[in-house]
Amino acid sequence: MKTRILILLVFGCTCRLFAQSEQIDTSKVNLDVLKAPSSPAFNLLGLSPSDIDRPTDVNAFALSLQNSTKNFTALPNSYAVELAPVYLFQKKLTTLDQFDTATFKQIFWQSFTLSFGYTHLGPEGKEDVDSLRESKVGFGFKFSIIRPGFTEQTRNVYGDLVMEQRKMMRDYQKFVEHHSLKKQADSIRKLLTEIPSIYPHGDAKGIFEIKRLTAILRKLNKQINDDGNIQLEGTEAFQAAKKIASDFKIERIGAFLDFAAGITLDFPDDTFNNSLVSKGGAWLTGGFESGNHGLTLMGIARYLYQPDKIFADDNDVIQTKDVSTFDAGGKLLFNGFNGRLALSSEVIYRSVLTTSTVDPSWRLVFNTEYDIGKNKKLTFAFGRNFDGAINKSGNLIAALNFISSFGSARKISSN
Amino acid sequence: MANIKLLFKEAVSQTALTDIYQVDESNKLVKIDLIIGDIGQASISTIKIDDDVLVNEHLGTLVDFSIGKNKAIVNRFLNITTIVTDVNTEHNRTGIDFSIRGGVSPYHYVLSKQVINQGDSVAYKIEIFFYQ
Repeated sequence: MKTRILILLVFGCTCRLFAQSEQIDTSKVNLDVLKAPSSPAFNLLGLSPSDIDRPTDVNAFALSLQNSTKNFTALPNSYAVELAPVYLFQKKLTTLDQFDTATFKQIFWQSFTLSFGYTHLGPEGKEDVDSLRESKVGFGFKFSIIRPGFTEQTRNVYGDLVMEQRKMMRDYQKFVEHHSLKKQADSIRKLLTEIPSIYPHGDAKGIFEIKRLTAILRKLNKQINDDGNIQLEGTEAFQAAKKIASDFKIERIGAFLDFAAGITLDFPDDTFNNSLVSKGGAWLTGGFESGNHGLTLMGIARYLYQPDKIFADDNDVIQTKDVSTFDAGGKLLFNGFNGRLALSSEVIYRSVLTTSTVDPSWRLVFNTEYDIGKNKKLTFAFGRNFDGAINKSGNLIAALNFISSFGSARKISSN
Repeated sequence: MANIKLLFKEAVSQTALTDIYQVDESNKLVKIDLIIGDIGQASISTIKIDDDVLVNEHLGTLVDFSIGKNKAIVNRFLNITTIVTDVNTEHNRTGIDFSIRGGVSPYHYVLSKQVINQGDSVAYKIEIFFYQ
């Protein structure tokens, strides 16, 4: 009996492998190749993320520049910095509650980042050969135009955190009210309010007395606040807030639209009056984010000037020099009926704008899968390749129980 | 580089501010900014003039908030209590960028504290005496 089961299992696995090989090869249809880079300037310059400084205030930026230029005495061989101007100019827009707003001003500032990179290196493999060194500068930026709000669950978790903060506020105020130094602080306050009745307006002695009493009150307040913070740490609300804040993750739901662009300039003889644009690119990404459930829709449009590789030119027929390309893609994912129905579709359009050597082409893949229970799934795939060939497969047209497993009613996990 | 900065921040860590602010006899409004930091943190604040509550349990930053006319707040105390919770997992910095304007001259002060553990909360206390 065991031998029979083993043979059947091997046979079943083989059938499954054949079934998979019959499906359309989706490996080349992947929107990630069009995806906007996190830092456009560095992507175009070829700098690795670990080399990038990300200062969060003016002092840190100055320190970063100072370090990389050896105390402003030499130009670095490479320098990359990414700045979020919101840190420098719009600090009032950075608290957690403001990340759930839909106003363009807040979305723009919170997402706006600038990237700047400089390299003075030789070509790959000969980076340190002085005679081959060439200066390159890259600029880039990105920002969101539309951003989805928090999911209901994220809002609920934030609401729980606020509730614990309210409790902490009440606990803290209670500690302060009953602190042993409270009476002493109140008496100082009383003396401060009596000064105008003792000294004439603007009298130097009165000002001196105000400053002297304030200095005493400052010490008392510091002690009261320090003790209050120690007491606060021991409260249930503090621990509850800590747990919520530690696990807090922002999930968003709704439409989104992001824009990113970058350009690199080459200085072949290291003079500022002789430069040429070596690469450029712009990415527009939009869609609908629905967390892990429901409908997810994404569209990407990309323009590149002198790209490393021309996506539409599989056979490397044309040179990348002075060539502009436009690629666009769309993706639709749907999970419904408690995860039993999975539907996905991807389409990619690719073209070379500055030459007609390679014709524009497009590819479409559509996959659907329905779990009918007991490890039985209906699948259907349909696709059009870049060359126009149409392919379709799946057990919906072949056999209903083609990927049925043996003896078990356990669900097949996609992971 | 980061460690020196961190040590510096820890060294200047301050969570209580007690000071004076000069006002005049005018009807001009005195305004405050209470900017909560650092990026991505959650806060709640209560603002009082003596025992009068101006704002109770306000969430997040407060900008351009009027606390009264110059002549109305003379010889009184502004009291602000703020709880800041470290929600952002990328750093543990908390702080308040506090400023007053509308009186004799502008006033600005920064309070900050780097918390030890992710999720910790800090109570900040600000008390300003308005004199003439």
